Amino acid sequence: MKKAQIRIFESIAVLVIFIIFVAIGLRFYTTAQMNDLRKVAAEFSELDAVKVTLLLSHMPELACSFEGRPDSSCMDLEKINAMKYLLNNTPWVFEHYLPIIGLSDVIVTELYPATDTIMLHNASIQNTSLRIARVTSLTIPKNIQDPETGYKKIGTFTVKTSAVRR
Amino acid sequence: MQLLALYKVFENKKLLNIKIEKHNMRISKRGQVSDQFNWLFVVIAGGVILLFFFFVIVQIQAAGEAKLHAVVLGNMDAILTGSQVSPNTLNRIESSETLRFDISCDDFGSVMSVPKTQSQVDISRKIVFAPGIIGSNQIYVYVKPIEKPMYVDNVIYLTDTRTFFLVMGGNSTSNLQLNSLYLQIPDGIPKAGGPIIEDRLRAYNTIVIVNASGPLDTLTWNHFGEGILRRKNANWITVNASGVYMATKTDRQSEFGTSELVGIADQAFQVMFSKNKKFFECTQGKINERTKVVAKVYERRSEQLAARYISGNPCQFQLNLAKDRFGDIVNKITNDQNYTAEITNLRNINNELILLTCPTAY
Repeated sequence: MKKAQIRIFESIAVLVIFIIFVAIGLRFYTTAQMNDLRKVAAEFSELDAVKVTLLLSHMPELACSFEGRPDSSCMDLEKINAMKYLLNNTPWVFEHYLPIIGLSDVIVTELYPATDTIMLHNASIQNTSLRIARVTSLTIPKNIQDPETGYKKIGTFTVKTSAVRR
Repeated sequence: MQLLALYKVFENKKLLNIKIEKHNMRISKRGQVSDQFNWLFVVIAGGVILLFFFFVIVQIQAAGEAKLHAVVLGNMDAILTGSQVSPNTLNRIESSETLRFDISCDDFGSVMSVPKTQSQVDISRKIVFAPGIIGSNQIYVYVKPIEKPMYVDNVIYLTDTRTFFLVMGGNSTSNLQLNSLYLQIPDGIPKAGGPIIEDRLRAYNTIVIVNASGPLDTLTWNHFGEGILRRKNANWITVNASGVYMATKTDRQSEFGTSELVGIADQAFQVMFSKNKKFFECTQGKINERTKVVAKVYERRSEQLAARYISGNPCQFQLNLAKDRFGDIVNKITNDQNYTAEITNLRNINNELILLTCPTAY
């Protein structure tokens, strides 16, 4: 092999090694970035669950009312039942709530004096084909009031928000 | 003979020298080609490596900016959600850097975006009015409830320290409508109810001018002519008995566009916080949609509650009346009709239900 050829091969070898090092560096960088993004996505998913819970628990369609004024500290049993009925039977009402509760299970649970569970919305039935990345569940205590008797029961309001894998 | 031999020797030596010279020249040319190749190789390889790193840096910078925008928009959305559930409050969001974002509304929903970028967040769950692009390090979030007559939702009014509300005659009681509008703007948001103070206007990007009858008074036009308003975004809103009219102007335009009727006088506050007619109509459509859904839920609830009473019970009678009125509201919104009479009727039914100690309709 001639001297000039050896020199060219030397240069190419240096370049190849350099590219390998750069590729390894980039791989580490992208892995770190991906981990960082996953962390941010998880934070946003949790934040989304908080937002959905906050919005739903303060909606006038679910909150109690006292002489026409909303009272967000409790939920109206008849409003819960009415909304459940409409979500299952009136498509335009369901479409309206879809951006809020689309991928969330919304559960109202009566704890005391009697126990009962009302599944306001079940996302897992409607979205069986989706690949779920993570589920964030948030439960807040809520009184549940029967508007006829005015009697309040102790209960919880749970929202399970699913994040879809892309 | 000897001479001839000598000549031949001399000739051979000359030929040899020429050959050596030619050989040396060939070697030198090869060296030159090799050097040139090396230089070319270094320049091309160096250029490619430099371009590669330039590309990587640009990509990293773009990704970093996109991530920052996403985090800022996500946090803003969370702040708005928090504010949304607290009616009749004014929150001031302060930041060390200028926050710039735009609110837009169309048939597909509402988005909050960073201008001139792809970054955006869906805010279709919220009803948000904003008089233009928000661009300041201090943002105001004012939340007001909508009651028709039942509590429907909270509306978010977004503005910043670079937007000025000038309600012509708003600080006098000669025009109660303008006075009420002026008082509805919470203290803290830049506003004036009297004549323009020139120096104050200079500091703002967007001016919302409200008056009782067009055209604008001489004082305003003079300032406009002198150029105070020329380089600003401005909305000119006229409120009178026949409704609310709106004309808009961007900083590139030298005058306002045509003044158009956008809504009824009761909607004047929402028009003041709208960047144009299209935005107002779209957001108003969201309010109607929310009202329709809430009325539908209340209609069903009234039906369920009425069914719990025995026939002839006054509670059942009133609840059935309420159910019908809620149904009327749903139908009238669907057919784009006015439902003011139903609102009054429902208010009376609800008062009757309170008197009878029955469960209220809303």
